[in-house]
This record gives sequence, C-alpha cells and structure tokens, in this order.
Amino acid sequence: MNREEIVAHLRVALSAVLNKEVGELSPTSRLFEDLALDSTSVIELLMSLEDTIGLEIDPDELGPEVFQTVGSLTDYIEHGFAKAAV
Amino acid sequence: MPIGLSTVAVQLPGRSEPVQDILQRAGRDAMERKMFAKIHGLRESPTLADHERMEDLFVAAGRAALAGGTAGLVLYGHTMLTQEFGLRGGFPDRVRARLGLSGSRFFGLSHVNCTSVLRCLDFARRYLARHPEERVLVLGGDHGSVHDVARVIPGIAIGGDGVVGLTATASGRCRYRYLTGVSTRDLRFHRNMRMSPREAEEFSRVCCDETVRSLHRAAESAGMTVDELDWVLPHLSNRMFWGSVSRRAGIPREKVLLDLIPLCGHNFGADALMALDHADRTGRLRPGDRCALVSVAQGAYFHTAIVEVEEDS
Repeated sequence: MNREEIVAHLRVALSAVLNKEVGELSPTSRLFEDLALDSTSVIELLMSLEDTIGLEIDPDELGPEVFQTVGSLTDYIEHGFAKAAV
Repeated sequence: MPIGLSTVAVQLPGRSEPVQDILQRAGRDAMERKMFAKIHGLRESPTLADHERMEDLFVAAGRAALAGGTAGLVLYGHTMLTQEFGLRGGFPDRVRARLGLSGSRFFGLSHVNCTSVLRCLDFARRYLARHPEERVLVLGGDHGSVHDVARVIPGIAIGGDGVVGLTATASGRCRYRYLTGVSTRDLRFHRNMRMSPREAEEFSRVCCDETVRSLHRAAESAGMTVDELDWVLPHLSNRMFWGSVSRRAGIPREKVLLDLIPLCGHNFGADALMALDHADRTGRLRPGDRCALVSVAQGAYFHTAIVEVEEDS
C-alpha cells in the first residue's frame, strides 16, 4: 500500500473516530491541535485500521512521536506494512 | 550515605482477575478494553479473594523481610487514601503486634501517589544516618480491588493488590546497595483523577519526558550515566509507555524489564520493587549490576532510585 492510499484510509478512519467528515489531510496537520484527537482516540484509529486494512500494530514502536502529525502517523503505518512484508 | 537493602519479599493474593472483566464491570467500552490488551499488554490483575485480607499480605511480606529480626521503624508507602483495612482503624497497631514490633514506630507515607514506596527508601536512609544501629522495615502496596472504579486509571492502567516488604540497614550484609534516589514533581497535574481531558492529555505527554529526565538525574546523582545502567525496573503501568521511554532515553529495550506486565500488571507503588525481585529470581542480576527503580505517579510525581547488586549471600 502506498502513502497516498494510506492517507486515504486514514481520512476514512478519522471521519469515523471523530464522527464527522474529514476533508483533505496535509502531512503537517497536527493530530491533537488541528484534528482534535487525543492519544486514546489515535490508538482507536490505529486499531480500527487493523480491522479494515490489515495493519498490524507493534505496541513497542508506538509513542508520542508517532502521534505528532498526519505525516508521522503515516510513517508509522507505512513502516508497519513494510515490516509485515519482510 | 549508601544504605543496604534486603531482598524484596513479594506477596500476592491467591488469585488474579482478568483485566477485561474488571474493565467491563467498571463500564469501560470495547475499544478501551481492546487497547488495554493489545497496546498496554495488561492481562491479569492480582485480586484478593473474599476470604483473603490485605493486612495478612502485609504481615507475610513484613515477616519474610524481617527474616526473624526486628526493626525500630516501619514505613508504609501507599497510593490510595481510603482502603478497607485502614477504615477499620488500628492497622499500624495490628501489623506491629503481629510482626513482634509493638515498640517500634510506624509511619504511613502517602500523598505522593505511586512514588510513595520508593520515597520510603529515601526516608529510611535519612533515618539510618541518625540511627545507624537500627533497621527499617519498608512495606508498600495498596488494596486496589477495594473498588473497581478506583482501580481503573482510564486509558492507562489497572491497579492490583500486590504487596512488597524489605529492610534497610546502614551496615552489614545486604542484597542491594541503595546509592541514590531522586524525586521530581509537576503540580500542574495536581487534580489527579479529576483532571480534565485536556489536562490528562498534557499529563500523558509530559510523563515520558519527565521520566527520562528523572532517569538522567538519578544516574548523575549516582556518579554515572544512563548508558551505564544495567537494568531499568519500571513502574508497570503499561507496555507502550516504556517503549517510548526506552527510545527517548536511548536505553535498549531489553534492559527494561517488563515481564510482569501481562502476569500481574500494575500494583501501585510496589511495581519497581516487584520487578527487582523478579529480575533477581530469574537470575538476571549479577554482582555490580546497577539498576534504576522508577516510579511515575499521578499528581504528578516521579522518583528514580539507583541500587547496586551486591555479592550473593
């Protein structure tokens, strides 16, 4: 799955978690400040992606740095897929 | 002045309860329950059976730690302020009497939440500086299961009924040498369980950085660097938190002992000492190893103690 596809899935999952339609996402959009998520809802978001796109969360690699922006979250997901493909 | 510490006596109730059951009873939703299992790695929580009493666990831990000896001072570190055995009144007198320490002084240490037990070690050191001929018994742990709602820290951890006991002396043979203890606090979060969602979010962000700072300060106070630590024996709140601390502090993950998280999870201020006992029992500790015992508390309080492993007795 490429980055554009990941971001598209993120947008759908974000809309579900936030219970409102989310428009275009910029890599620099901040999850907490700009999108009004909190750390629990980000984890919910990731767990919902496990169910929908087969992402496997590695809790050992989760941390505040992942939850900074749409870009950092996409990096984490992309890395997760790359690891699973090895 | 370094003091000596005995091995840690850990006492657990005869049963543990699935974390999922506790969360369900506390009314937590399915997503949060999944998060506790999948992300935090919390599976079981030590829970007193109907016929068991918390006070008996403290007495058993105290007896094991005293090993037939005595102590002039008993320090009891605890997080929760309302516990069933405390409400019955007379807890210190009963414990002293059952341990044969009726003439000894007994003090509770609280209001610094889960740092209370490690803080007791610092108070023991201060006491022994004035009374080097004496011995101090330190007890720690809480009656987490007294109330399902009170034992659940939303989104973070669940507290169990585990108890620890150990003794501190100024001289003589010991299992660990207590080198230093460093406390910090950030009172922006003093509302504790009554924090607003915004404050709780800020607290969770600050926690990792402040824990790393606490590790660095304690290592420096012991005349070393974080790189030279052989083990980090953590507050066992959840697995994700320690992954972040490990990366941020540059401490290899394998040095942070998280084995107990799925087995008995978080037991308030007793965590780091339970991890120390586990490291010792599983043969990981070697003489000269230096271990950081870390506690993190709502409020917010942080405490890191550094101990060095002595020769096997």
